[in-house]
Parts: sequence; structure tokens; C-alpha cells
Amino acid sequence: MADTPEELQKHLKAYTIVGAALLVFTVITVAVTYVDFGHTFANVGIGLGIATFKAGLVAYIFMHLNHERAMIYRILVFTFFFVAGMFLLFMLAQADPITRFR
Amino acid sequence: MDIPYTVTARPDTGLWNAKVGIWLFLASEVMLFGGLFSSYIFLRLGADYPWPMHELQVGFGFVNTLVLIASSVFVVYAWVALKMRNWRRFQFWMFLVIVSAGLFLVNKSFEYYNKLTHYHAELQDGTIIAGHLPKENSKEAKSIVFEASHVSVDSASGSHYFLKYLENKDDVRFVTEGGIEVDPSRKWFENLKRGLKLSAKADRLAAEGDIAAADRLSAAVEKDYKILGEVNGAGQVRLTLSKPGKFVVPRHKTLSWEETKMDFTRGLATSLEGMLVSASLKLAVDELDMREYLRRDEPREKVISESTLFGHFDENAEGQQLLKDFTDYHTPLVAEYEAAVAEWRLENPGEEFEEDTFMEWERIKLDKLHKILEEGHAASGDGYEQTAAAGAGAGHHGHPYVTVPFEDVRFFSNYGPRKNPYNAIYFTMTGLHGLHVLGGMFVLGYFLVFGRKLFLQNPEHMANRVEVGGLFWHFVDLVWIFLFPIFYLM
Amino acid sequence: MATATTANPHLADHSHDSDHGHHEDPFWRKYVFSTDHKMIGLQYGFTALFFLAFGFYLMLCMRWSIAYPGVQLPWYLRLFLVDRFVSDGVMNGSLYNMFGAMHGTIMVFLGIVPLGFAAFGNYVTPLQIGAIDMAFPRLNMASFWCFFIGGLMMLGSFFMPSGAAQVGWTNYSPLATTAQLDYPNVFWTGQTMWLSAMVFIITSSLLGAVNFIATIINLRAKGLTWMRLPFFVWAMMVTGFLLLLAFPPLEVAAIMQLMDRLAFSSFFVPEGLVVNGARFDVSGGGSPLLYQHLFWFLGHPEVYVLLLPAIAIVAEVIPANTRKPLWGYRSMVYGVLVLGFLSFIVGAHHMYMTGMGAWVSAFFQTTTVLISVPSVILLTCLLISLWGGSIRFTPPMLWATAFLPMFGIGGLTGLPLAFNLIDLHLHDTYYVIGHFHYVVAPGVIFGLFAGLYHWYPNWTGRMLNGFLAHLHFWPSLIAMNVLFAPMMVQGVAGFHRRWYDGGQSFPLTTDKVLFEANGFISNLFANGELITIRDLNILMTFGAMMLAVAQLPFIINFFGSLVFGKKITSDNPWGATTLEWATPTPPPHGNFTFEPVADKGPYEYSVPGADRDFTPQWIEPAEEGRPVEEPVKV
Repeated sequence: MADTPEELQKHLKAYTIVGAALLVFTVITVAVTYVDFGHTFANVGIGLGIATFKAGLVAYIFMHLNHERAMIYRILVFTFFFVAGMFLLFMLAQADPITRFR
Repeated sequence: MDIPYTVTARPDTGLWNAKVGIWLFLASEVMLFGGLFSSYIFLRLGADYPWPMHELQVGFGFVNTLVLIASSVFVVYAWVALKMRNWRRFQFWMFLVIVSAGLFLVNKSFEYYNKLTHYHAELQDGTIIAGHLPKENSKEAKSIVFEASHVSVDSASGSHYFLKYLENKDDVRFVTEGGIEVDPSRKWFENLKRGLKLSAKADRLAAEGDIAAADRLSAAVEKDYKILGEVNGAGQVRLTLSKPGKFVVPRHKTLSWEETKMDFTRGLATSLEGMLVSASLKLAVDELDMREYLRRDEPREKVISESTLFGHFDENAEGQQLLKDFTDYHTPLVAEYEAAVAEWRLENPGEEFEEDTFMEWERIKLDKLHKILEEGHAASGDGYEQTAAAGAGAGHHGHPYVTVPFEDVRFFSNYGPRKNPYNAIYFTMTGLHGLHVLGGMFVLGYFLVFGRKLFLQNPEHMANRVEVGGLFWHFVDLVWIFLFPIFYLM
Repeated sequence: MATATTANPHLADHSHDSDHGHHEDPFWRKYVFSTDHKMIGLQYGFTALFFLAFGFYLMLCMRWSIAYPGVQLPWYLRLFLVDRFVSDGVMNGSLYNMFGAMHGTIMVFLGIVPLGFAAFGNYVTPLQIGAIDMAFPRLNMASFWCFFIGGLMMLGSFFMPSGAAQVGWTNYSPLATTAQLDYPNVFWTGQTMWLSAMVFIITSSLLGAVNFIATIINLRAKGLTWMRLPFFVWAMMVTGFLLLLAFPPLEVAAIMQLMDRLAFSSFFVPEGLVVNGARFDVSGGGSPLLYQHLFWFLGHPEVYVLLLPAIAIVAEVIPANTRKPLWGYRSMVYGVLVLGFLSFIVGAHHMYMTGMGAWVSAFFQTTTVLISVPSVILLTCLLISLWGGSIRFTPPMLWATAFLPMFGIGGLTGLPLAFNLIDLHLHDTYYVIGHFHYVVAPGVIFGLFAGLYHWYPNWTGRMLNGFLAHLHFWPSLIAMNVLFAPMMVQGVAGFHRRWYDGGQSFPLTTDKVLFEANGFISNLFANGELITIRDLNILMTFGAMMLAVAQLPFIINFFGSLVFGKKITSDNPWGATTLEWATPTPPPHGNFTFEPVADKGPYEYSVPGADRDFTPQWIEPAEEGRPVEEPVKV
């Protein structure tokens, strides 16, 4: 991490821009949910896509994941793998039951 | 003894300790919220009720999203200020962070309050009504009220918990069958239980042949537990109340009720004799939902107005007007619905009809109905207000009252976690998130208030701390970015 | 023997140590709210040993009830039971359920994990990586006290009006959701307290895991590169990750079940549930399957949390006592990493009976079979490490060698359970009980005993008595097998795990004749000459009692040797190579008297050309009159 005042000033600018972008995308998220894209999965997918993009901005810029050490990435890769696995497992559990329980 | 690498980074990993620590902690937080999000997915995919989209007020969530995003920006500003060794600017931005967090929580608590005071009842035939309890006597409006002349308690369990539901505790005295007046206190019942237990033990000792010990114990019991003489041994102890005791009991604490008798749940092991005052739910209705009713009414020959609900509208003009509004609006809708189903059947011959196909359709239509009801109230607002002033029947925001006996209510709850898994996961996730906001607020607040000393000693250490706290704060923001759409929007 | 770590005045005033050694911490700071990793490790150790004994006692009561249903407990078991539990001294069904649930919970979460991971991990890890303490000492202390509060809550739950939790250590909903709801205040029931206590225990584990991993990443001594780390440290790191990433889903499950019990939500409750003949008054719409998925997402990594510390201890003890390097160090490291990774995606093999679909079952069947590969790599490496070594059967080595076959039996009996079809037959039978007890009791606990005997001198400066150690080991080994081997036989015959009367009420299953006996043997059993599989209960209960008696020499030895044990003459009594033996005995707060620097791998035993049969990992500090030891080139 560069700590010179000039670098930090540049960071500040980036933070302001990202913050503004996040606000704009929040408005967009709300707006698109009033538009019907034809299918529930499409509606949910688009909403989640925007949310993921916003979350990515926060993680990448605010949480400095754009220049972090290898060790941190290693930890996070495993974490995200397991979270994704958990999502998949829970979806599968609903999609593939022997008997429907409802 | 100083732990190395608390401030400066270890050369080969390039990290200082707290940085590793916070990322590990966040990894575990990711799993925590990951577990909750996957539960959400599971519950949503498996939901056999229409998913309540836009049920929460989007405005609240929207404002909170903006507040949290802004606070995230403030945190990085504060961190940069520390990096540039500017304490005053740090203070300024950090103060704004704390204010934002406070704003978020205040906003959230309003939202919670609205949900928790809004009630929902599903009648036996599937009709769902929602509304508010009357402002006065709200406890009695959702409970069973019983005026008891006698109380029967299971002495062995010594259950005194029914006292919690006795309203006029101070006026009432209990009289045993032996004619002795006792204090309706917890202590009396506990003594009773202990005494009975000891005398049972004495009996057991006697049966085992240890006569001396049994005698000793019996003597002690007789001396210390005179209460035992006042009741008729083990089993049910029947107490008479000096004057009618008013019990206000939540429905789920009762096993059954009749005109003259009421039983508490098994664990309380208590029953009352006397007179049932009321056993019905009184709500100022602001929403009707006939989807479940329609689903169950497969042949669709009955009309909506035959729902048991309409038997319970207040007999005054407003109640009748609401009934008329509803029927007028809904009769063509049902016809339209029937036509749509018939058309679908023509287009898909031989396929099994699934109600879910039309769920969305019904929801939209009924949302419109909800609006019409609201407008109707606004239009005839004066009338409702007047009756409210007269105290005759209208209540909350001029909505008409409906009084439904508990026998007709299949399920009753507020809009809290009990209502359905959607509300449950909403409260669990936002509640946990709220706790994280509160925790972050404390930590960052600590830096703001007590950080000066460390800043003067070792500003880099202080900056590191704020970076770590900031990382946590961004994570909390990041979670909210997902929570907002999945609960409020879609 | 090497005098590696005699105090060296020139190095003792290393800058980090400038402010210690002059003042003694007050008692409560040193022994109670200590931030020293060794003291915290000991606190964990003693608490865990207490809980192990307590869980063991619960087991004895249960085994008595199984062998002699309806018969009054013997006086030595009734000694600790107050009237409120058994007025007539006979175990009843609900007490059995309570003891069963708490035996599992206490052994897993309050006994073995704290002993293996928290106690040994805390004591040994920083020493082995040459750190002066953990990365976050105060967090470490918080972790212990969270654990302690959780433990107290678990114990306290026995004394609530409802008694402790009763629905098994897995706490399955909806049974757990609806249990003990009759009590007026649901919060003060054992079932709810179990959940609250779990939240504390989980929090403690998370804090501990963060601390361990951060310490291992950032506080390794100079020159201690990743592939020079002792295997124990690697295992602790993997265990830390398992705790870190697998425990949160359980925390979620606990919180959601708390909501179900206290706020009457219905996460795990389907619609139309009937409890005690009445409709359960909640909205419904949830699913018990959700709980099981969340629980077993933790559940399987948890098994390896129990296991890895024990394997790691054995991996330390074996090279030190065979005087040859650990065979296949690298494959063991990679094996343990793969094991940790795979353990996250096998959990649902506990749920074949829930009605999961064929695809999900097939997937988990595959991964479950896959995970046996790294397990076998670990075990095989340890086994081959024995080959060609000059084995010294010191007390720790006895336990370590016994660990190998015992754990092998436990692992191999697990294979049939991995297969969907066989599991349908064996699910919830004593076969399962036998399988995982072979892994955990003679497996893990033997490993932990090896660790206790191995590191005892480092803590006290005294050796444990060898004779008593043998008196502890041999009866334990026999008793364990008498106790657990018959379970497999019973299980295959269909003996269900939750019959509190020992299967008396299911004679069709349990009266199958095993063999005909006469004379002495037939006198031992109730049925006389026809010995049925139910009669094995008596044999197993005898094994359990024997196991209890076999621990007496250990208790005497453990406390007696504090005073009477033979003093060690060197700081490195076993002639081991890893860094924990470079400290003075016992290690002071701050551990090292010199700055440890490693220049070779962890297991340099019998290096050709070296003057001793072990070459420590660290560079000997310069001392007056003695040259700095040259690093050995291999």
C-alpha cells in the first residue's frame, strides 16, 4: 500500500466515485424490481446481479482487495468455494427430493 | 513482552497480525451469513405460500441502504485522514459514521415496531385478515378472558405460573378446602411442592424398610410444611377465590376452554372454573387476502362473501359497507379468474392444473383490492372517524373492526417471526445484521472516543486499528447490499 | 543429552523481553485471567479432562441401564445422582435420553475438541513455531472464558425444572423444537439452554481458530518455512480452518432453532405437525431437512476437528520414539490439506435416510469414498514410519502405536456406512455407534493420552511413572475393545441405538442366539445356556466398568507425579527435534531464552554423520566455551 499523501488523495477521489456509483446502483436496483422481465428467475437474477456488482465494488475498492497479499486471497478463495458449495447443496436439496415434503 | 508484527508487516507474508485476524474473522462471517442466505434460498424454493414480495416498506430499506453506503465512504475517509495524521478530520468523519449507524438502527427499530404491532389471522376456511389491535385493552383483544371462581392446581408440580395471568392479584385471596386463607404467592406453591416431595420420600423410605429415617423425615415435614395439612394430599388441589379473579391468557397457553371451564397447557397443569368472558380476536382490519380461500375452494361455486369472515363483521353500517364493497369488487374478479382457468385448460389439454400458475395473477388483483379498500376508507373517512369518536366500532386509522371467535381462527400471529418462514428469516437475518451494526458502532465509537492516546503514541497503529474496524464495517455494508433486494424487492 | 537451552545471559536480554522477569504477576493474572498461551492451554486441558470424566460417568449410568434395565443403579453410580433425577435409583427413559444427549454433547464439544485442539494446540503450537505467545493473547483468554461459560451453562441445564436436553447430541428438529415446550418459561429449559450454550462454545471456537491461524501464518520463527513446520502445526492450521468455516453454519442452525423455540417461528417445522395429540400451533412451511443440512455441514468437519489433533500428536510421538524421520512428511501435509477440504463436502452422508434425492446421495457417496484416500495416506505414512526404526516403547509410544490399529478399525468400519444401500440397514444401529466410538475413543483418546505422556515433562519438569503408565495402558486397550467390538455384532443384527432398556422390549431382534454356552460362561448371563446378542450388553458394560477402573492409575500418576515424579535431567528428555524442547522447563511467560532460528526440517533423526541420533531444528545459540553448532547438511 502506497502511503504518500498524493497516493492517498487519489484514493480519496476513487472512494468518492465508488460511493456515488453505489448510490446510483441502489436507485437502479429499486427501479428494476418494478419491471417484469417475464420470469421470476430473470427478475431475481437481474436484481442479484446488480447487488453482486455493488458488493464487488465494496470489496474491491473499499476493502482494498484490489491490492492485497496472496495469503488473504488464499483464505477467501476457499471460503467462497465453500459458501458456493453450501448454496448449491441447499438448492439441490430442494430440487431433488425423493418425496416432496410439502 | 511484545508480540511482533502488531504494527509493521511481517516481511515474508506482508501482513500484520490484526489484518490476518480480521480477514479470518470475516471469512467465518461469510460462512455465517452464507448459512443464512442458503437457508433463505431453501425456504424460498420450498415455500408453499405466495412469497411476500414488496410486503416490507421499500422506503425504509432504501433509506437504510443509502445510509450504510454513505457510512462506508465515511469510514474510508476517516482512515485516510489518519493515514495523513490528521486527527480532527478523522474525528469528523468517524463521528458521521457513528451518526449513520445510529440512524440505521433507529430506522430499523421503527420498521420492527410496525411489524410487531401489525396482526394477521388465518381463519379455518383459509381467509386471511390483517390489522391492528384496538389501542385500549389490546391485551384482552388477543387473549382469552376468564373470570374464575375456583382454581385447580396440580400440587405435585407445584405450578404457580398461572399467577402471571391473574390481573387483579392484589384484591384476590385464595381459600383452601379446609377453609384457610392463603396468599396467592409463588412461595406458597413451591412450599407445597417441596413438602409433598419430602413426604413421598418418607413413604418410600418406609416401604424400603428404613422406618427410623422415614419417621424422622415425616416429623420434619410435619413441622416445616404445615401447608400439607391444608390441602388434601397429592393430586389436584382446589382453591376457591374470595372474589372472581380475572385471567387474561394468551391462546397458546390454553389447552381448551368452555363457558364454565378453562384448562392451561399441560406444563402449567392448572384449570379454572368460573365464567368465560371472551374468547375472540378483535382486529381493526386493513387487509384481506382470499388467495388461500380460493385455492381450497376447488369447485369455485361458493362466492367469497360466504367466507366465515363476513359473518363476523360488525353489524354497524361501516361493517356492512365493507362487505358490500368487497363483494361488488370481487364477484367479477372471480368470474374473470374462472374464465382464465378455463382458457388455460383449453390450451393445455390433459395437463394437470396447478394453482401456482395463477398465484401471481391473483396476488396482483388482490393488491388492487387492498388499494380500493384503503380508498374507500379515505372516501368515507368521515363516517369512520365519527364512529370512532362515538366509540361504537371503528378503530385504527378508521378501519372497521371485526371480531372473530378463536374457534374460527386457525392461526394467529403478529407480523413477527411467527407469521411464516419469510418473516422468520427476515427477522433473523436483519436482527443479526443489526447486532453487527451495533457491534461495529461500539468498536468504531471506542476508536473515536479513546483513540487519541494511541494516535499520539503510534499513529500507524491507530490507523491499522481503524483499517481493521473499517474492514468489518464494509463487510456489514456488503451484507446489507444483499439483504435489501432479497427481502424488500424481490 | 543436549543442554540446548540453558539460560544464556547474553541472549536473555533480547529487546522483546526487556520488561519481564522482574515482576511476578498476581495470582488471578497468572492462573485465572491469564493471557499466557501455556496457562490457557492448561486451563482448557483441566476443564476438558473434567468434562471427559463427567461424560464418561454419564456413559456408565447409561450402560448400566442397558445391561440391567429396571435394576437400581449401583451405589457408586448413585453417589452423584440427587433425588430429583432418580427417586428410586433406577434410570428411566427420559433420564437415559438426557444422559445420552449430554454424553454426546459433552464428549464432543466440551471434552475432546477442547483437549485436542484448544489445550494441546494452545500449549504446543506457539512453542513449536518458536513464537513468544499467540498473536492475540487477550482474544485467547476471551476464547477460554466463552468456552467456560458455555460449559457451565451445559452443566447448569441439568438443574433446570425440565432437566437437560434430551433429543440426542444432534438436536434434530422438529423433536428438539417441540421438546420441553410445556414448561412455563421456555427459556429456562434444558433444551433451550443447550442452544444458548452452543452459541457460546461456537463463539469460543471461532475466536480460537482465528487466533491459531493468524499465529501460524504470522509468528513463525525465523527460518521456519512452511515445509519446515512440524506436522502438528500443519494439522492445527487445518483444524483451525475447519472450525473457522464449518462452525458458523451450526451457529446459524442454533440461532434458528432458538427462534423456533422462543419466537415460535417455523424454520424447521413443517405444516400440520401434531405434538401430543394436538396441532402444533405454528405457521409451518419450514423443513427438518434444513436443520440437518446446516448441522451436518458442521458435523463432518467436526469429526476431523476431533481427529486431526490426535493424528498430529501421534505424528510427533512416533518419530521421537523410532528415532527416524516421519515417513512421507510432504504427502502427509498434502493429505491433511485435502482431508480438510473434502471434509466440507461429505456431510450429507449422515442423511441418506432423510429422503434426499438420488443425485445428492450419489454425490455424497462419491465424496465420502474419496475422503478415505487422504485418511489412508495419513495412516499409512504413520505405519511406515515405524518400519526400520529402533522403537523405544516409552509410555507415549505405547499409546501412539495402539492408536494406529484402533483408528484403522474405526476408519474401515466406516466404509460400509458410506454406501447408500448398506446405510439403509445400518442407520441408527449400534454398528454406527461402534464405528465412531472406535474412531473417537480408542482412536482419538489414545492419541490424546500419547500427547499427555509426551508433553507432561515439558509442563512439569517431571516424568510420569512408567509402571503406572503400563497399568493404565494395557487394561484400557483391552477394555476399549471389550466395550466397542460387540457393538458391531449387535448393530449388524439390527440393534437400535436408542433402546434404553437394552432391547428388552424388542425380543424379535435382540433374542437372536449367538452361541450356546455351558459351565462358567452360562452362569454369567441371565438367559443361561443360550447366549443372545442382548447378552453382549452385559459384556460391554463389564468393559465400560473395566475402562473406568483402568483410568485410576492414570489419575494417581498424573497428580502424584507432580510431586513424586522423576525429575528430568535435560530440557529435552525425549531427544526430540522440534522447537518446544528448546525452551527452559517449564517454559516461562515469553517461552524462549534466545531468539529461535530454524534451519532444517522438523524430523531430522539419525542423520548420517551427526554426532547424536537427533538433530534439533533450531540453531543452538552461541555459548561461552562452546562453538555454534554447524547446521547439518543432508
